[in-house]
Amino acid sequence: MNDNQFIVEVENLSFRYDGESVLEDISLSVEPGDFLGIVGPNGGGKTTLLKVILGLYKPMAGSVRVFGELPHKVCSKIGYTPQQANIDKHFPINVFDVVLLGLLNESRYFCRYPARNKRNVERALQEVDLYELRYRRFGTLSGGERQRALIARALVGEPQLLIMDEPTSNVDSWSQNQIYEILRKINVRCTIILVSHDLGVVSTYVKHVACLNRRLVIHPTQEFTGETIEAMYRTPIHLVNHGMEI
Amino acid sequence: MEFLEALRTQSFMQHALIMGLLASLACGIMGTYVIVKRIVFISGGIAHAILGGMGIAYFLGYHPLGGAILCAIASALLIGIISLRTRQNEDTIIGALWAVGMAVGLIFISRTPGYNTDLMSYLFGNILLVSRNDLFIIGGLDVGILALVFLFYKQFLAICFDEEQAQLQGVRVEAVYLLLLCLIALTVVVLIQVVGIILVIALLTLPAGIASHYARSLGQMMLFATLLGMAFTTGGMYLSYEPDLPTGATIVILAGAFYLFSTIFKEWKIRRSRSAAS
Repeated sequence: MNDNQFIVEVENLSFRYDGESVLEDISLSVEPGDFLGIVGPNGGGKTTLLKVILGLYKPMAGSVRVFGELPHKVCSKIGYTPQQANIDKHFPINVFDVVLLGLLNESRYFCRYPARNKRNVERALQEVDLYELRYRRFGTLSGGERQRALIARALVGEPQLLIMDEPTSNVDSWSQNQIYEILRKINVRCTIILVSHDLGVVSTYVKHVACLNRRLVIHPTQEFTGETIEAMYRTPIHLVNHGMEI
Repeated sequence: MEFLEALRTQSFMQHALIMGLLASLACGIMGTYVIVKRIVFISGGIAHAILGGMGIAYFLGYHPLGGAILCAIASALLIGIISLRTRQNEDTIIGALWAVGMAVGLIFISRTPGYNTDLMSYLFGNILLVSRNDLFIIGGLDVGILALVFLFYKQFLAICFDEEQAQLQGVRVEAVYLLLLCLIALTVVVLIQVVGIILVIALLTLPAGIASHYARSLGQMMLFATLLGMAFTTGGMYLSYEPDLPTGATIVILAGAFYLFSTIFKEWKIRRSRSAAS
């Protein structure tokens, strides 16, 4: 990877879902070491954009490059935490085994993992301060603990890019701060893109903010003011109020 | 005891017992996936569509078990691909295949010359009619299912827990999902021998459903479900022997009663711990 290369480069991306336009003409470049927060209203296409960057969805127009390649070729360099709501809390699995799933691309067959994987999992769990709870059933954890377990799963493969979908929904405010402090440390070695509906918290931790409502506009955090948000959203008053409640 | 005496002296009873144990292994393992992946309806559709293939095999004069195996794979792939490719009305389409498969089977069986005694045993099973030959085929299916689950354990776990994450880890999610459905279909073939197509869904879901109340991992859930399945099939045989009740139905009612009991117990425990916490 040469120095001037972007980690993520999206050009003129469009995406439709069942004939309805979700993303229109999106262009976005993410530099190494960035911490990008993508905010926007529900249904604004935030999760869809992440999934296109991850290679889970194919763009209908435009291009996506991650580390200069097509996304599915560089999966092993990307860590991903999905929205918690998508994960079944009744699933019989403990925290340790959840994190092990982040190393599946190293050994896919049979039941056992190589011994070094175990050490990697322990280190990832220590990093998110969840080591003591490693044998607890995933579904019995609190929202914040579950999110940290998912972060450990994303980190265990030592990614260079971490992509997170709503990491602080379903999480109390104390745990939110704990999670953002963890992300601040991780950001030293890993570029982060996160999606949130939570404007207030995002703007205090991230380096850039992108506003997404089908179209996308990027701001450095210091320029991120009420007017820029208002200019982006279709229903400005409601959303600014939402921002101020936090 | 008369039951034990029959078990000691009658070879059909011994076959039935072994059949029950072999079937429990398959249903414990694959039933666990049916429960955690929440594909009870898809599994039911596959099970019923199999009758179509069994009927055709019967009409053409092939061994119905062979027809069932081929048809099981075909209906698993058909329903699997439909469920992967259609975004809307997936359940409507599965429901249609469910019924149409059975209807095709019934037509072919009715057109087959001779007595149609086999129809009842397809629909409701007859564990007491299992031959020694059948046991070898079922045993072979068990070994095959076990070997593939052992080989794909991690990938099955990954697609059941979080499909997107699995895909990002390089798992070929659709292919692995179709393989899982094929193994469920083969399990259905095994279970048809015990309880028949109509009741198959009970053995696929009830032991694993009870196990899910207590298991802490997928492997543990499989173990519990297998042991429960063995207890239910053997217990059902015992209970049905003297009053001469249908064995398959007795097994299912026994399993259903335990499932109900376990669900109530689990709910009671949750409420008690909640009221203790507040």
